[in-house]
Amino acid sequence: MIKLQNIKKIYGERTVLNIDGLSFTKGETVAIVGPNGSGKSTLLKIIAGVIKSDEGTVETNSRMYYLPQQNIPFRKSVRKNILISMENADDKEIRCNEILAELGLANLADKNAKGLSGGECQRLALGRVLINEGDFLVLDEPSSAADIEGTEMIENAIRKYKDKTGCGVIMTTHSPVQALKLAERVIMLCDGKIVEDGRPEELLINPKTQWGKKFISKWKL
Amino acid sequence: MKKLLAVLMALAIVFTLAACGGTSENENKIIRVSTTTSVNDSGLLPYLLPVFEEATGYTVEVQSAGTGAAIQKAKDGNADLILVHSKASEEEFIAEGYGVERLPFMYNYFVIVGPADDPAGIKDSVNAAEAFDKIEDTEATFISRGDESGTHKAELKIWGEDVPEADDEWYISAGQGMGACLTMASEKDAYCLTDKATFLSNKADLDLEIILAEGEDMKNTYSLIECNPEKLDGINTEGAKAFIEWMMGDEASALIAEYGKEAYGEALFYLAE
Amino acid sequence: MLMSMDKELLQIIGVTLRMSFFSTLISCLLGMPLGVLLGKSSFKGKGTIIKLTGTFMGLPPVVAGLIVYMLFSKNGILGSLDILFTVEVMVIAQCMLIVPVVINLTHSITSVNSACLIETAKGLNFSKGKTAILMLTENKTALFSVVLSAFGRSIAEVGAVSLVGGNIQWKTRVMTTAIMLETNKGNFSFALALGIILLLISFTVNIIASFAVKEDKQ
Repeated sequence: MIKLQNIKKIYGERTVLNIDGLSFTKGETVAIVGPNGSGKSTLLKIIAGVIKSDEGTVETNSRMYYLPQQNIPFRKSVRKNILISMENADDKEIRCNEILAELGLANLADKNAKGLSGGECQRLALGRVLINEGDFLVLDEPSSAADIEGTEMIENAIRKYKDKTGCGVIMTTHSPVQALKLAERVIMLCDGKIVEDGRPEELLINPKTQWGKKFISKWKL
Repeated sequence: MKKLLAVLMALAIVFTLAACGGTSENENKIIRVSTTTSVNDSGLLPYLLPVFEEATGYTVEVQSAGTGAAIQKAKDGNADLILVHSKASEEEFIAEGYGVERLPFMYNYFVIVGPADDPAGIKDSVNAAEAFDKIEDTEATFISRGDESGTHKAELKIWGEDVPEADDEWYISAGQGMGACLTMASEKDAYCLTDKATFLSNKADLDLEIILAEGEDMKNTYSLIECNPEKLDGINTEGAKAFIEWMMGDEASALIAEYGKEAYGEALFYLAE
Repeated sequence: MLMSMDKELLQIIGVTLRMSFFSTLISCLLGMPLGVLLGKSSFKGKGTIIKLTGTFMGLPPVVAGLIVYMLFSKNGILGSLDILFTVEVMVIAQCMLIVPVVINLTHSITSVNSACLIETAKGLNFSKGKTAILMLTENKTALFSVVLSAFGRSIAEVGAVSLVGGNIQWKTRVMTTAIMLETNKGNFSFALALGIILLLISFTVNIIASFAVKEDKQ
């Protein structure tokens, strides 16, 4: 369980996030959508505890793994990138090989990660997150740099991880298809506020707000 | 490696060009004096020069360094005259044609300074050579300038044949100026040969006393030598002559004889007979 | 001319390398963690500390030497240690000069990508220590140039080491103080030759260092 109350985040004069109440339960997949600057990344960072809100509280005792929007490969081999991110386990090597295969990185395992392409980097960064077991995955645009094949690998990996661990997934995305495909719940943000929060099919057919309608109308499904 | 050499060459050229730009014919109101630190740091030149400049209208630029460097600067044509205190080096300077004539014009005495309790028992020695023998016998710590300065050469002359090895624990070759050596002697409770003027002007900060003074082998003579315009370019001969003439004249003699009496209760330099 | 003083020259080079090695090592051990800490954490007064290190980068070596001299002088607070005019005290004086440089450079290097890196590390639930080590290893190449800057400042410095070391023959004489001495003796060309040897030593160290970094890249 993650519970947010009266969250406010202010940068200078601008209130980038203003949320009265929001909660997530383990096992659900939530897609957070909204235009650039709507506060999606800030919300994820606050949920993951990477930054603190200026007001309000985040209540949780869940173990979370967070993937930032910007992927930095560590200056090591692809394999070591995964291994260094893994908490102690007996079958380290086996699990490492599994995740690399799953994300299509097996043949790059011994290459320096600094030489990877943008899409490969993103898969590697996701791999570092997926190698551990947590209660929640907090993913900021996990497939923004991926091609069609890469996106599929990423989505499959997230789904498989969820099935295995029963965790919750909170992710932002700019892809309506992805939101509909993966999520059981879609939250729509506008100017730091929640404007829609519900099942994707409901949202698609019957948005509650004017703003939601307008946003959905741009989805070319 | 080629790159490195190229860089070095470039640097060398820059330095050479910079050195060439230094002298010029119409600067004949400027006299360049290359002298040792002891003359300058004791305050003698700062005391005399304003009087000279007032009287003659010349401007004197003083470069002070160890005797070796002071002479080398003159050999490179960067001085009109030298004021140093190392007879052998001075004679060599003239023999090589760089100097015109050696004019001893004042002297004082080297002194041996050391810790007040005089651990080597040198205070009743008849001369510096005897004192040095006692220091060597007792292996009391001794700081040598080790920089081929006038003072260092005087020290070597006193040791004579048996100059101690610099890797002897007690004989420290500091390779620094008089002030730094005196400081080191004070820190290490060591003996040191110094000119009296520098010692007296630094005495307040030092834990040292004059242990032996005025032995016959401790005389320290300062000379003026005009640089030879036939050997070196750009020498202000007129200025150098004027300076030497004034320094050896009555007015300067009177001033030199008085110098130090007020501050230290005794004269620091005596006029050469 | 250089050949004639082979034995002494080798000894001087030995002292120089020993001094520079320890000055660099200690300065980096002290300065890099502090620089990383400054780069990754934010607290009140951080800006002031960074400005202070910047200011101390301009500390004249002679002043650093004077401070250390007064501390370790016979009547100084640490005079009883009796280490004035030793290589040890030269290293101490040099650290005073070099630590601020290391802190400042390390900070400016690590703060560039520190925000992203820290987010990534936090996202993976890394411990603070693991994050700090990651920041060092991620910036390895840039930090190596910090090490070389520290070494360069150490090996080329003369004001502080001549004051606290005393330029004692066979003991605390290093390349720079030997150059100063030869200059004072009037042996200008010999002094210049020593300067070129010093440059060659620096050059060699840089080459070795660059090999070390290259090998590590694989």
